[in-house]
Amino acid sequence: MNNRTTLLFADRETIALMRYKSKLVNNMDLSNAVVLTGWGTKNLSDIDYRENDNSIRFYNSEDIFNIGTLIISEPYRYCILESNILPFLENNKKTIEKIFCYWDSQSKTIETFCKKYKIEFYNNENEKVIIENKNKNLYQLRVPIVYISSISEMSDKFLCQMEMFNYFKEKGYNVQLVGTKSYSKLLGIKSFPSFMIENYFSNTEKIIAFNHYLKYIEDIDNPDLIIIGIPGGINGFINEVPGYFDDLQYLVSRATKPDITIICGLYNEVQEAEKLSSIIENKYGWRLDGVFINNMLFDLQLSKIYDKKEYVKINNEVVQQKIIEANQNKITSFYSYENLNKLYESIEDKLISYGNENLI
Amino acid sequence: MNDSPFIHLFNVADEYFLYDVNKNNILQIDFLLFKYFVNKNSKEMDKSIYSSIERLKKRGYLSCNKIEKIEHPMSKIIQSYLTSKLQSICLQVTQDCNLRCEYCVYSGNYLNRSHDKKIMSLETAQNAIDFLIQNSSESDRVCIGFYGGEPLLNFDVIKDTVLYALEKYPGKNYYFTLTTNGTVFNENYLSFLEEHKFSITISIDGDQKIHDMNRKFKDSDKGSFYTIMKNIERIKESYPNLAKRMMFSVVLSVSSDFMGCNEFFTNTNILKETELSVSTVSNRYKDGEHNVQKENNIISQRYELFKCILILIGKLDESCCSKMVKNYYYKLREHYKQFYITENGVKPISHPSGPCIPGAFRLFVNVDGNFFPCEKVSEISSVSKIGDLKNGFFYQNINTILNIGKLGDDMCKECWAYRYCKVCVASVDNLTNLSIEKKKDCCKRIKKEVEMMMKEYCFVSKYNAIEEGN
Ligand code: SF4
Ligand code: SF4
Repeated sequence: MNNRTTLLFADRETIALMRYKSKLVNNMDLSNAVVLTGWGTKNLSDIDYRENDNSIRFYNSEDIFNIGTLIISEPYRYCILESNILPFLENNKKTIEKIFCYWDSQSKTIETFCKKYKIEFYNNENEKVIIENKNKNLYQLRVPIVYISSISEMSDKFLCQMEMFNYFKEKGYNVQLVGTKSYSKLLGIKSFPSFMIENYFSNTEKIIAFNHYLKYIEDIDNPDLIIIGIPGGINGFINEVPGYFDDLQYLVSRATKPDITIICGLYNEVQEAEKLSSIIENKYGWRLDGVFINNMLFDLQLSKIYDKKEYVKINNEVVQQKIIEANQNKITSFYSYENLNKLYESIEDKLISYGNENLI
Repeated sequence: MNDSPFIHLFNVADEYFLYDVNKNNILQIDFLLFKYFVNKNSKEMDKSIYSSIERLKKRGYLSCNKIEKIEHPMSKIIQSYLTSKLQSICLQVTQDCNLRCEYCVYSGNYLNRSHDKKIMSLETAQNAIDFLIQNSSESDRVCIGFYGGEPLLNFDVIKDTVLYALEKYPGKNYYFTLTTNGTVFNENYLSFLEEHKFSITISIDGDQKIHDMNRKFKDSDKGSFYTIMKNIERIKESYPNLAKRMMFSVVLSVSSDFMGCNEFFTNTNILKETELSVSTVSNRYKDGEHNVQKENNIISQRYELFKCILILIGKLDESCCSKMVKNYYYKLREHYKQFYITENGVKPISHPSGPCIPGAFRLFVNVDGNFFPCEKVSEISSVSKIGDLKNGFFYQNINTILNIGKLGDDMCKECWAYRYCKVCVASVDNLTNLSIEKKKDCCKRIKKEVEMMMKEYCFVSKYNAIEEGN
């Protein structure tokens, strides 16, 4: 078996696979992450302004060879299937043994290719969680629950989940993460159950099913802590950034009450901390423990012009400065990558201080 | 600081209005209240005025909050913006032109600008593309525009630049544009432009008489009308996809005849379906006397604009809208929406809405590789030069241009029109500094325009429901 793994493509959506590649299942050795010239990505740090490694390869690079496993994700940047994906598959079909595909709209085309060349094919369909929903009662959970939600898209919620997961893992806790990315399973974690998004359940059934799903994790994995990343985001926070439909937040909030809530947001969402706390409290009944802010800014003017959500990447120093200013309000604490561990430390302290035998 | 309500008063015939700057709303008020606000010092206040004012205050109107500090909201993040979000570049591939138009900015009638034989080298053009790509990681779609002089005189550079971008940087969704005088097309050029989905803008001012008055060939006194029309015909016949992405730029000079133009563009078969962009001769950087439109032209234009308002209130069909003012009509429709957006008050640190983010929306790169905010700005201006290919952006100049409101900031802090202001570097540039005098002139014009826009809004709203203030 050839473990040499290539990621097609490296961008903001898939950056977590690169940042946490040591956690990949099946001994995948993710050595190459492909980008197109024109995206402005020469190094991994160009994507998220964090550390560099030398994994980035340009599309036609000769360094890309002998691929055993290929991970394909829906590109966040401009890319055309016919000219940038299919030729790549053709060129490498002799060595590719497996493809993990996380691009729903092109899944069929890629699956057909795999069938033709006898390549193993996996996508989200192979990963659906089915829940038997005979019992209609909601269980009281013993294990502490952390909800990680966001105000809007592009807020690096998944990175916030992974960082927290690793923090508690490294401290020796048995922690379970239900992650928001479709490729969560590749990193050895659970992905947010698809039954919550499908249409064939009523809302009540979803609430019960989600509660049972958590109970199932509690019983089977016996964790010290469950971290749940909730897809979508809270709605109606600031006018400048369109939120999304917050159905999932609502359903999850009914399934069980969290012990800790973290909200992730964009650079231009560092404001009105008071309003954010009160929305979280009144709408969902959660208490806000911290707000993680990343380095993306929603560009309202441009989004109006192009009728498409447009973002700008902000320098880390500018983000830091804004967070220092925001933290003067004392209503809630804002964090960036630089001090995320502080947030996790305070959460750890809080959970310990509960002094409840069921908690950590 | 002035502690009177931050409002602007105006009337449309015998109806009276108040624009509340903090709320960004217009209210209709009665004459007594109007008079009270106009005579600010008046001591008498009868009961009805008092209660009207109290009612308005309760609803959040009449706040005295003004801007405390002028600072553009993008100031702190301008560097981040310009290193990740460039959207468009406009390359001056040549300063040369085969025409000599009377009103061209290179005609010699404008400060220190004239036609030159200088052309952009391929190396400079490629470096400009590299610069665009390096600084647009958050823009999927980028526009590359070609500008002159007459850009087609340097077609080889245009062609090689397009191919360079497509081959070297396939990860971008490109949009190519060309602004041309329409006289130097050949089959080779046209098929390339069609193949690469160019949007082209051709300058044509009206019928032969009007057009040829200003747009003459350099080497003879011959007008260019006939050549352009032949070329338009050829495009329509043989390059239908290019024809779909073609538009005409019409310049109304002092000698133009508005109604004549209107008729020409409406009734000439091959021009009928193509959109127009109409402007008047630029007075920016003008040496000597400014161009002033003839009175009958102004009257005809106002008449057509009035028809736009009648269309908006449903008294005329949209088909009656003159092609010459279509853009104005669309703008009016947009403005109409703006007053519905109720704001939460004036932010203490704010900036007039005028300037673009210099360099981000239409970075103009001249033949020598110097950067300017757009092609309207003079490429010999030292204040407007915002960088070059060798050294990148000059952030000090960029910040000055972005924060144009700081020039005489006290005027802007209390200006009721600040949300709709259009003052930018192109209108106040003196080539070596930003001119407060020019800014003052501009302010007068802008305030007049904004008030006119509000009046039109009120007139149109009468047929819908404008809120009563009393
Ligand atoms: S005219 Fe002024 S606001 Fe418009 S692009 Fe040029 S510099 Fe920017
Ligand atoms: S119109 Fe003049 S005073 Fe008013 S905001 Fe614009 S620049 Fe400032």
